[in-house]
Amino acid sequence: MRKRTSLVAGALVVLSLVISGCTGGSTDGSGDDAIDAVKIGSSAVTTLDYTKSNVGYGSGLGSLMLEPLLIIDADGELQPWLAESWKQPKPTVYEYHLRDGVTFSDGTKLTAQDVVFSYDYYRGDGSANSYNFPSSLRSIEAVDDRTVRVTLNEPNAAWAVVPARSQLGIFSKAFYDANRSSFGQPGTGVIGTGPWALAEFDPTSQATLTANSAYWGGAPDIQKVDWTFFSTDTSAAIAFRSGELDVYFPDENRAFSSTAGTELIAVPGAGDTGNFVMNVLVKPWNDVHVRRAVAMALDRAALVEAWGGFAEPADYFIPPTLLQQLGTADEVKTALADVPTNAFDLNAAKAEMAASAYPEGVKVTIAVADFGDSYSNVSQAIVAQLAAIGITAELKAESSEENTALALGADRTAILAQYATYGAVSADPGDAFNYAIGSANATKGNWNGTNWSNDKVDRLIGEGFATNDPAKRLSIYAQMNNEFAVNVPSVPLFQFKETLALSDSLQWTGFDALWTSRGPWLLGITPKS
Amino acid sequence: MSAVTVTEPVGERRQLSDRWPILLFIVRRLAAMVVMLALVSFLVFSLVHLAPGNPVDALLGQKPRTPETVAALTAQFHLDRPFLEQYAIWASGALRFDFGTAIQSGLPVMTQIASRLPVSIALGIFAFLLTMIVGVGLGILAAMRRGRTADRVTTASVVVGLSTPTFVAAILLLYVFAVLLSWFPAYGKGSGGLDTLWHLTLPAIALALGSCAYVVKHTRAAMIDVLDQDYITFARARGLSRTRILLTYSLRNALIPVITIGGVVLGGLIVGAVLVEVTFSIQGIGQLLVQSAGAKDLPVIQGVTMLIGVLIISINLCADVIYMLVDPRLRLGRR
Repeated sequence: MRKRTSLVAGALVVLSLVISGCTGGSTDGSGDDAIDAVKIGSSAVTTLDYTKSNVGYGSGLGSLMLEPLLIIDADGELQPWLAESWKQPKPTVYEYHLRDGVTFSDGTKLTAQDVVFSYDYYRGDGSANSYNFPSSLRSIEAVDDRTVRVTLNEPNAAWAVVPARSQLGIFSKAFYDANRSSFGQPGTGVIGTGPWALAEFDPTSQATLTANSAYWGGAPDIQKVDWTFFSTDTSAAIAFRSGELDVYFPDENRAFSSTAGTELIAVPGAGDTGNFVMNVLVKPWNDVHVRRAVAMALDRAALVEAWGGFAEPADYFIPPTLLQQLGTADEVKTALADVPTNAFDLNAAKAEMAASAYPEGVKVTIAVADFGDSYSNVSQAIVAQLAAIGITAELKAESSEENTALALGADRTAILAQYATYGAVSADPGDAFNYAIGSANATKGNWNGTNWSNDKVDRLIGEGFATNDPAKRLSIYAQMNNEFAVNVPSVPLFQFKETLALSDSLQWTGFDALWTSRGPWLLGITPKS
Repeated sequence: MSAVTVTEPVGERRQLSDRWPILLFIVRRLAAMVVMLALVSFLVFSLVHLAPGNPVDALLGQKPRTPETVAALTAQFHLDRPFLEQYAIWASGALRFDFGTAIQSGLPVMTQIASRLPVSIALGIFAFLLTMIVGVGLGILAAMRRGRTADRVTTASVVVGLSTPTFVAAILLLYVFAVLLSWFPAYGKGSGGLDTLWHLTLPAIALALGSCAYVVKHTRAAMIDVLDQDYITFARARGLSRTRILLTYSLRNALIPVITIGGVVLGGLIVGAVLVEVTFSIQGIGQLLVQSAGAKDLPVIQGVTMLIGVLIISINLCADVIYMLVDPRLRLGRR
């Protein structure tokens, strides 16, 4: 019997050696071979049809194939991409002149009709991508084969950066027409003008992209992209640690960094912020003194730690990084000089509470949605900090679905105070958070969870879009920040950094907060010299 | 009169049941399956309908939306219709094997399931084989060596195996064999053939650990029970070889209860692999179900539920049929 056991054990050892021997055949992108195949990861992308799901462009995968008309450079300036030039003949008209000689990866020529069709497809009813187009957009038309004209019903300064959005990559109309029912799906995919073309797409595991040798900007150095879909950041971190992944954009930064055993590259973010949001329709948040007390009782630096780091304390509703689209850092600083920051000051916070209708303190309920551990951690820290000024808070757990349903529901009083992330949906400072402010958005189906606004803010929203003058717009948004700082419907807590895990064999010198507005971003990654 | 009317059909039934006992059994179970699936589909549809949230909100995410887009998607997925009408629309499609389109991905539900089913089945069968081979082997070993070191070690291992949550085993295996030793890949399903086998080895071991301990426990108990029978003692007294006693007299009888739990184990392994799938980033059926439930993607939830229902019922049916084949008393309708 012992002999037989030994035989079985021996067989298992041989089997494991045979199996482990297979590891030698795996691709290894380290060292000199890195330029031939780069291994990138993201959460699963189910379709590359941007009207069906926004994960395709959110992951950065689609941008390698579908290119925008314009890009935004490191200084925040618009630069030509598929459009070699553009002009604004009237306040409501923009014309884009396409680059000559651009072809799709199947060899067909890019025309203005492709651009018009792509934009019309993205903004159609039922499209998950339609939010990128302002309601003032009247028409998009092809003037000739290389000229696209966009007409607005009224001036809208925020339109200028719309053609630079990664969500609006141009695809081949002819390819769509030939594959209407399966466009963007596995087996069909998409055809764009980008430096890489889709070779294989399996939403359950991976996508493979190969270099587009006829790319208008010259054949890319990276010959192949192996894009793997991960279930969790943890799985990706383990893959990164074991050398099976070169590039990853984590969500849970601290946990990823620890598990992957790597230092993340972190740069100042573009505008996404974490906020404590109070619904002014319900007590005690309808009392401005309570809201001001909350703002001054929250220690931003400690909350950054609770969040897990990779963020900077924030002072303003519209962050200065976004306002720098309209002026230099000094100009922005000057414009914001008189705007109160409601800095952490417990004595001042207690004085505000004493002046409120609740001088003896108050009990409140704060919602915490299951968007991740960081949300829970920061919510608990907020509860602890509010206790110092007599606000006894109880956390109420909500599923993300329930939280979203309440936030968008018709009963606006049902929205609880909570920590919430405001994602900047545009590089334009007026448009970035436009969806979450103003009276029009304090209604069913919209995202103003504070339900606060006033006449001045509503007026400023309109004025900010009506002019193209950067100085005027900067002044308008500084005034808007002032209104938010004085009335405190929400407390800006911190601004997220943009993070990246990058293999030691690679470098990305131009990585910054606007990397998604730079077209096929992978062109910026090169082997480390 | 009453004696005739009662006796004749029973007599016919007995004849039919004697001739085709297994066939009759299968037909009955399949009929029950249809009723069961209809009930389950309605129940799941109702529960998803009652749960908070809205699939359109889940689809559009934390992004701005236009009223036109919300209205178009609501109409597209029939969310503006009364509850029973929504169910009727789904059921009429399901009867034609058209389970609709996934809300989240826009892909046909059947396509999405078909793309994920092979890896789930491969993982389930791999884990099942490990479970049965190792579990039955160790169970027999422990029974044959009752009270000795091998039995004690095996019994202690069973306690550890049963007490270890699958996700803990998965993370431990992942860390040791994929990260520290780099013997196995850390994620994914591989590119087919040996590569897939190699990728699924750690997940299958993690998945098999608990069920393997369960099988060891049952096999050991069943085997000890059989070994204590008089006919085994008599076989030994007749001087039959150990191998013959083991294979011909002990194993066949001892395996009957093990076969019964085998069906339950296989069903559990195929559909219960969610945590292992997440840990090893294997996009299987379990993970699809969890993602769809989070997004209230009703067509996918219904499609996967039906699939799981069919799988569980079919596997149990197969186990029962094998049980009947192995034990003639059941086949002949006697107890």
